[in-house]
Amino acid sequence: MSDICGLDSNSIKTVKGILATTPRIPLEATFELTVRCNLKCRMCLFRHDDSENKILCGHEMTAEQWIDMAKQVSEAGTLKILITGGEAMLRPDFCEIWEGIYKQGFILQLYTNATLVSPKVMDTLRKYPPHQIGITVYGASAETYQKVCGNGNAFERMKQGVKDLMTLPSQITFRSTIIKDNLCDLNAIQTLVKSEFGDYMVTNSRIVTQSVRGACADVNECRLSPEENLRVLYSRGIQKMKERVGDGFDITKVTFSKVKDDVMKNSELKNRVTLLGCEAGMTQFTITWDGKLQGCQVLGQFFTDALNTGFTNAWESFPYQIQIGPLDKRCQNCSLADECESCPATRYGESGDIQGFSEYICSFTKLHHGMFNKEKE
Amino acid sequence: MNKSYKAKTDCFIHRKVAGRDILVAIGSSISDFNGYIELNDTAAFIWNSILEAKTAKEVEGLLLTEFEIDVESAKCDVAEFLEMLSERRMVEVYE
Repeated sequence: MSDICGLDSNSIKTVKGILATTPRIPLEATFELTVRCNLKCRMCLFRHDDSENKILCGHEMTAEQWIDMAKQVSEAGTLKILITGGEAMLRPDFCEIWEGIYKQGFILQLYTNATLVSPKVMDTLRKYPPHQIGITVYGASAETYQKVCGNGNAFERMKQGVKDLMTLPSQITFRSTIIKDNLCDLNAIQTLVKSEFGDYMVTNSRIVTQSVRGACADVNECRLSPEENLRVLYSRGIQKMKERVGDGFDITKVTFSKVKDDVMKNSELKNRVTLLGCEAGMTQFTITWDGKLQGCQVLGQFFTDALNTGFTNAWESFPYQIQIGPLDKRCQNCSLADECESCPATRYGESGDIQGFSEYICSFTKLHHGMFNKEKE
Repeated sequence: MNKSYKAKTDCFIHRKVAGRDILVAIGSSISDFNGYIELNDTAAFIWNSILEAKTAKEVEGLLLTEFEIDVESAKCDVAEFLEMLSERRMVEVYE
């Protein structure tokens, strides 16, 4: 086992307690081939400024290193790998990496913006089709793509790319991240996907946290306000109600009541049975573009060096990097803890501290709570 | 009776995950089955036996050598598993 210096005795005790009771198996990996991207989305969590591209390229793991990492994680028991970025297809050696990993027998998932689906990529993916492809659509027009991604031409390339990917036997899913610049396209994105690609539901991400790990996006200008977030959260359900009720639908007469969760979340992480209150570092992990092992792609605070020390060493020593301080005072004993969408990663993204406070998430949580019919609570 | 069976190793990769034997569907076979199946010890043995084409009888013989089971059980296990593999197009069948 690697050294555990740096952790206080309480943290070591906590980590050892968790490891004694909860098994860790590295079942699901995220391979972040790059944080570079051909698009410049205003809300991107991971993309670095273009000025850094030369440095990034110089330190990205090579194809050989990725294929060897896949061999190491396979031996350790990984079943599923998500290949993502940035935009993974941006790498000129994407096909070589994909083929080398594919032949080792994983359930492979690919995340992409579908704008770089070249004939060479399609040749490779036809031979070695992903089990799942997650496609992010940023808008329903070139105009929106220009506003969100800085590239209006990407819209048509996305549509063609998706049509090409849909010829594969892969399971396809669609996602979007909603910010102020594409909020007007919320319904249009769904309509576009249904009319152009088939009967798929678009999953909308709306809680956009601050960018992490040296990324350059300033999301404060573009992410939805807590009020807008609330509208997006219920827009689909309300739309369905409107369609069913017809002209008589009156939003002011709609009441909301809450179903109590069976499982109580513990946002204080005090009584956790996993390292971070989720599967990060337990059954899930990320290998970053430069070979670090993290619990998830967002939480860069704790990591070990998988590239240079080997995956097994990195996996085994990872728990001992995790030191949890006290929860921010504003969150301690919060009555809305079970409704709050904070987790160590979002707290880290928002405040730089895994136990930190986010005014943004807190405001949304309070607004959301306020919707419910208090008589029924 | 004289059919022989050969595992489609270009469509399924046999791996060990968390101490368990699994077959992961790859390539064009994912249009029929997009996922993986877990094999028990007997199934894993039979799959490995048919990496080169074999008849059911030959596989039964190997099973009897490897496991402490009776002839009837070996016959049933082999027949059931080979039938399942055939139905799911996971093996080449040669008449």
